[in-house]
Amino acid sequence: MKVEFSRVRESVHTATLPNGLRISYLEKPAFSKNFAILATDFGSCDAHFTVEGKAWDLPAGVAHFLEHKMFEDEDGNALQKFAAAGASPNAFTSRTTTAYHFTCTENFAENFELLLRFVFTPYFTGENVAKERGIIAQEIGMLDDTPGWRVYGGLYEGLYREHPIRESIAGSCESIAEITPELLYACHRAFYAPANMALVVCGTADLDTLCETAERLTPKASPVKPERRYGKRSDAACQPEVTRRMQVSRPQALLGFRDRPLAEGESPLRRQLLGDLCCRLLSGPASALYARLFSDRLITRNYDSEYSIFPEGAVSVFGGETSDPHALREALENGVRACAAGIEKTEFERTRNALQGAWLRVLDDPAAYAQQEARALFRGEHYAAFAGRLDALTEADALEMFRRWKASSQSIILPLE
Amino acid sequence: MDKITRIPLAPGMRLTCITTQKFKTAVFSASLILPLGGKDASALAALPYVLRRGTAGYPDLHAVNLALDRLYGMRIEAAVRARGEALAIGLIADVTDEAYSAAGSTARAAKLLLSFLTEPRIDGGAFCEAFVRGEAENLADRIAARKNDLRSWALRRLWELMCAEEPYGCDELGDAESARALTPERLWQVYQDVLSAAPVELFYCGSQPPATVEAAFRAAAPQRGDRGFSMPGTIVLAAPPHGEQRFEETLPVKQGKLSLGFRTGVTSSDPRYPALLLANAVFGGTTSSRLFRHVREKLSLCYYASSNCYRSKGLLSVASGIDNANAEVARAEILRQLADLQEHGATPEELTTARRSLLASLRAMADSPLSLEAFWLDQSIAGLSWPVETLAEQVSAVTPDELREAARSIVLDTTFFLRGTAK
Repeated sequence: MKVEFSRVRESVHTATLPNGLRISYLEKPAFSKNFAILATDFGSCDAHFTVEGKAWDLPAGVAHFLEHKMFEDEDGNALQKFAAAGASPNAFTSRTTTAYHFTCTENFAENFELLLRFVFTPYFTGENVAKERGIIAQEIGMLDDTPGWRVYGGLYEGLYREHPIRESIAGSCESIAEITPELLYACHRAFYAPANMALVVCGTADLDTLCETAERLTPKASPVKPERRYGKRSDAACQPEVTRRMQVSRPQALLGFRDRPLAEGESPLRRQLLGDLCCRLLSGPASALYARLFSDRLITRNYDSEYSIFPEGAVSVFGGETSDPHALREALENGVRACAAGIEKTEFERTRNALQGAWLRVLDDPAAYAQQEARALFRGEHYAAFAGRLDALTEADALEMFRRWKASSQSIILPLE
Repeated sequence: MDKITRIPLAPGMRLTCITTQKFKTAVFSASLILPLGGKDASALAALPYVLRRGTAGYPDLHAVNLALDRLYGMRIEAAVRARGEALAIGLIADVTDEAYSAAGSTARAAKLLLSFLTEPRIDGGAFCEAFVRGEAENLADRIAARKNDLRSWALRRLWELMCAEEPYGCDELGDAESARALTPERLWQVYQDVLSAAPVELFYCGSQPPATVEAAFRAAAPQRGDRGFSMPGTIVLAAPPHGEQRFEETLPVKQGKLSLGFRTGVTSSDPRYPALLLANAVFGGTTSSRLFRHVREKLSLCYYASSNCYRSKGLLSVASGIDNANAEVARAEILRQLADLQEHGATPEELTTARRSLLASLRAMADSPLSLEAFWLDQSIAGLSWPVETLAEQVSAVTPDELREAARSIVLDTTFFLRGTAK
């Protein structure tokens, strides 16, 4: 099926295979490269589940460990096979997703087959799992030295009492020591089932050919469906302030406002747009608050904000380097209160147009666009539908979101040592 | 292939236009090209940031950012970039392409971009004091913050130590002390000097025809006489001037960073350049390279180990993050892999793989306006005019002997180990 998004002049070809795998082909006729991504709806958050009658509680870092280990096949390393066929492969694990992707300018069909084969072919042994621990321990060491990473981890620990989002994506040297081949096989069986995954290609291809190849190389069915658990829901934050000490040139602080989880049937695309819009309204570059914070040197050019949705939760996050974390917190909390009291129509419309420009930019970047499309596909949506969705948002929607933010907040502060 | 047009707008001022319907966002840039280093380094690094704060028409940050928001969320960022021993300071912008927005938006964006360079806000005959004070502090903070990103900081220290007697060893941001000492009057003087004397490079990538873009830039460009503008040069050495050097420093972090700096003497103007790019791809430039396969995967010595070529200065680096105990083993293995490549060349399989991967990354540049912007800035500074496609053709034709010869140009100069002392 071909869906046209005329406002942004994008064509999306889309299909769902009998085994449940959702596929989108994003047409980019003039681009030199093809980008393909195979994503599973399984991230570091998905640590507690029941499948085939057995309850699992994973040590931190399994989804990420599994991502590393997938590249190893019985007959070598998939990275080298991609490289030999002229592609650059990579992968990432987030709190909600694990994804494998490659980009190439030739031999697309060969690389596409490689992607499908290696992601559906687990090969774990005691020996190769032990060896990977060494590499991941180095990665954990590097992350521990990265202030931006530590500050995010601390924020989630402060915001949630029980939610597995509190755990680091990579885990710790102790937690990854508990990972065994059996555990990796169990997770692969539970979450790398076609119905739990999305496949997106951006560039020049043909949907029918993509579907034929995918049907040939993916499992015929998705036999199991895990029941996931995310801990007891609680409206209260865990700690209002979390502090980490490490050597940095200036303190870094993040302030998070908890939002309610997605409701049954609520559109994540719409929620994401509304969250992005409210982030921009509160402290986007054209807001009065941003200009004041910047002039007072409470923020720097690396100040950023982000709205994130995950199972059983959603947060808006603001921050970066700051001279005074507490003053920044107070200014942002006052800002949220002011926005919750009312938003000017002209400001709302100007901000909505600017946000449209920002989402439009993503369409020029095949990797970013395909990643966004894969996320949207998990919920049966398409990224390119944003223009229409954005037009339908109103000031009342934004006010309602700000009122929810007003109800809860958390901060994490990283001081100079 | 997209159409590339290079138009001399005035003496010392050139516009590079890439005309393409591919993108929904157009990219613009304006850069002043100066020699790297010198006593005004911090002033030059602060200048584009001060200019970005306000113009005669939009006198403060809020007014500027509102104007950008009204242009479909246009973004303008100050940029300070070292290219060999040249420094490019200026602004990079992107905005919804005119094909997806109101007619005339290209001209409005070009005018707004150049107004930051030519119509700054003036208070009492100089820059606004609050802007200068704020940006001087921001610059000092940015310099101090370099250590937060250990991966790039280790490389920066490597070049500082290795090129201590060349301008390349200078930080393009200058130093924190001179940054804090900046005054509105001094910065104003520096601004007057560079605006009248530095070559200007303008760039556009988008759907509008070159004539339209030219007219837009011409209408907004600074007016100046012919001062005999020239591009700064770069010292290129084929061998280490002091033989092999080794340095070690410590930081209270967990992971050690081992960095090796090599001289090649091969820049992008050198006929051996395509072969050196390939040799680098085989050695450590890709995930199928020797460093990745042997140092990371086979020996599990590190989380990352990769090599990089520096086209303007004729240098090559190896960067790795390792367990502190493995520094010597990793260094020996890195050098063993290089020596083997220099003696025996690449295997046919390595050559094919490296060539494919290099060609793919060169071709993919055409899909990214920002990569094209950076590429053409390099070309302008180096005085070169061939497009990326020409380099791709040359890479396709490199022979195994040429690759081995190019690998032999790689000579170790400096080893820098940043030892982590945290538990």
